[in-house]
Amino acid sequence: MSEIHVSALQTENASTTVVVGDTRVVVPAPTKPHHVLLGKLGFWAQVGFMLAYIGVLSGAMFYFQFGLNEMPCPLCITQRMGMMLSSLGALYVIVGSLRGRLSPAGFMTGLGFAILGALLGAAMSIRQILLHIMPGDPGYGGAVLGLHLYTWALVSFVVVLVFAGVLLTLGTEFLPVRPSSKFGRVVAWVVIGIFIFTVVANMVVVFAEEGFNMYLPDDPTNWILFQQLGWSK
Amino acid sequence: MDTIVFALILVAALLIIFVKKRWVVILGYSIAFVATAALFAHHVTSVLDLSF
Repeated sequence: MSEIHVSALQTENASTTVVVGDTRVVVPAPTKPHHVLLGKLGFWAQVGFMLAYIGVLSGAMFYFQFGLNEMPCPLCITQRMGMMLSSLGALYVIVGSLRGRLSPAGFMTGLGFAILGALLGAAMSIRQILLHIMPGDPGYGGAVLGLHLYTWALVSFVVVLVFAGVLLTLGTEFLPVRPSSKFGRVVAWVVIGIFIFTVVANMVVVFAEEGFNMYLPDDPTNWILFQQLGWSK
Repeated sequence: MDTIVFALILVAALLIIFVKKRWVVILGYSIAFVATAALFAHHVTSVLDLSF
């Protein structure tokens, strides 16, 4: 049995360099979570992130817009876009993981998408909060648990920023690992399908609201497309 | 314009699902992001009458 004499061993930036004679061997930093359960938790956290925004977007559209007949204002629509841009980050991570090609760099790209979308969305919701911040202002639209929808939108964007910040702080600990069961993978693809449907539904509904105009009116009250087509007054 | 921006977000989502190259996905996302920001800038039509 031969012996290898290690002349130097140093650790820098989480990678380890082993020097044997004239040979330097650099062992890179781990690119997988330390425990597969953390990776699976990371995967389902991303699915939950996307599912939460699907719920918010669907609730805004089906309950407030169709149920209570509250037409969304232009800023409300841009906040929906911010939520979708943010969700694209989760989509990128989930798809990469399901296809088995998610690298740490890809994980960071996904979190970057989520952060950028959340920052843009937060700017929009802060703008709308400030529009109605003066005492006595009733705000725009209905309220949920005492807060208007644009205030809840800001809360959701801050939650996304904290979520992405914590994951980036922990590095690759929660690098998503795709589910080992086929059922789990099918569930993830179904959630992705529902997200795509949500984007398409919003696109169709906003077209009906905006018609062939370039922009939405500041205070929309009816379906402009149907008026333009002569289907309603 | 709003319909077009939703369409761009949809295209970015489809690129994420069907295209392997990362720079293509980042390009698609960037276009959707800039379009959304431009739409937001268009709707910010007045200065807030607030004092900080």
